[in-house]
Amino acid sequence: MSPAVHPEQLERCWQACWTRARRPVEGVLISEEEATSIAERAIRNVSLEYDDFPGEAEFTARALEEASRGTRELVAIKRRSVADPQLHHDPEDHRYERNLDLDRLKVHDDAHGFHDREWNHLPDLLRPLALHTLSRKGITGPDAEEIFNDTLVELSRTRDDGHAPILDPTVFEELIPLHTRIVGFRAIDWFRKRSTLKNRPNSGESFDALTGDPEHAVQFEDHHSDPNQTTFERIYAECREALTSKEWELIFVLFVAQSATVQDLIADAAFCKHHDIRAKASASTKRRELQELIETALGKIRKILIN
Amino acid sequence: MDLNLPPHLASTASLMSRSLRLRSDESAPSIPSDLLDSLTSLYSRAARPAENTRPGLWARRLQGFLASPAFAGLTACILLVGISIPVLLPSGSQGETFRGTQVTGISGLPILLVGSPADFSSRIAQAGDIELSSIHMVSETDTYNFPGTKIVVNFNNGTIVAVDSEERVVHTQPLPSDLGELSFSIGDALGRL
Repeated sequence: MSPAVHPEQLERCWQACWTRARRPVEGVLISEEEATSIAERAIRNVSLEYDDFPGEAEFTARALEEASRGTRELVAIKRRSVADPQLHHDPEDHRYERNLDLDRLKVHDDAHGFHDREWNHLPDLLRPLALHTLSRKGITGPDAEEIFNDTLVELSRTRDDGHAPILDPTVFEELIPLHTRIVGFRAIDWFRKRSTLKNRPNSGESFDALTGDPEHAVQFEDHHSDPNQTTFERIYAECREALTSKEWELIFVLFVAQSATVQDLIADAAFCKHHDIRAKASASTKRRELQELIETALGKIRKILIN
Repeated sequence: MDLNLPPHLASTASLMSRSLRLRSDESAPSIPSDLLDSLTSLYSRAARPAENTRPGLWARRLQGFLASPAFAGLTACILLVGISIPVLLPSGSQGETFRGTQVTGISGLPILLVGSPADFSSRIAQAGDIELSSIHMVSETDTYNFPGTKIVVNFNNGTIVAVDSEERVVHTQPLPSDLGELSFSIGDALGRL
């Protein structure tokens, strides 16, 4: 029998979808009415995919993906139809002055590559953001400039799948986190290269010294630079296969939705039975067994996200 | 959280706890009641446990039915109906799409294309189950010449709008990025009427 659905689960899913539809990417904002329409359509579309309720984690992750995609496509179409790349840009977003025309940035031909004049404006827009990210990692001056130039080239370089990264975004705002990720990877390469040199005799700090000193920690994991990397739907998509449906249920209830506490769960006989926790054991034993399950599930997620 | 997680897992737990809602300063409205009702109905029906049947008894009944002359008669009837229906159907009729039959069922409703490319009506008619005579290429102001239930596909603002017989907008959705899927989106909008 499939898990029964509770109205509270659907309400939580709706709330998350609505907020994701309203702001699918940092810097994009649509009206509340449009968000309502897109969130409803997303949830209805996802419900067509499942004859039985697949569990709150899976259903919510799919609905969030659908809501985010719906808004990004709507915004892209509307911007294209009125030739205004600034349409639906969040007025509170002051990271840069104006959006560029993403369609023009994507114009490509085999003879000239990405050659539209819109590319002339891209370095000025991305440089402050990239240099800020690099300075947080301890890279400044000519080194930072060199890394930044490399990342610009990388945006237009064809990958193994035959597409350049600049072709990935649907709306211009997605280009910012995409570029930030590239900057982060190039920063790691720079540190590795530098540590290789410095691990030679009499050449200063090692890679471990750079990363292990608590007073001079170099931040390699910079989640704040790209909040969209840490959305539930993206984490779920990356880690889905690694966790069982029971583990996802546990992680979702305790951490993602925060709809129950550990105390609530160990007091719930049906939950304990479902998760093979001995119902007749003492509270402390049940808590210990539950904690083991939680640590196993979180450990799997951490392993995949770090790799 | 009443847990003592190791530090390396505490950061993962913290990440998960921030993953659902990226902003805490915005509150969403409540879930629309019709959406809640339809989902609850859909999944409570699916989740209902199977009735307590007695397989031994059913197996005996089935065995008896297969051995009876009535089974042969019923099989012959089904075969006859299965062969005759496709023959009796008009040759131009289309089969059911994976989205259902709603497009074929109400394709007489006007579908108004606002600001579309010149040859778009025939492309939509070829791609989907929509009759060419239902599709009208109009300007924004001409939509008022089609009172009552209709679908307005507006390329100027990138939306598909379903309007009911009392001129109320009952459904709005964005145009699909792949216009090859437009006929499905129109079918979806028709289904909301």
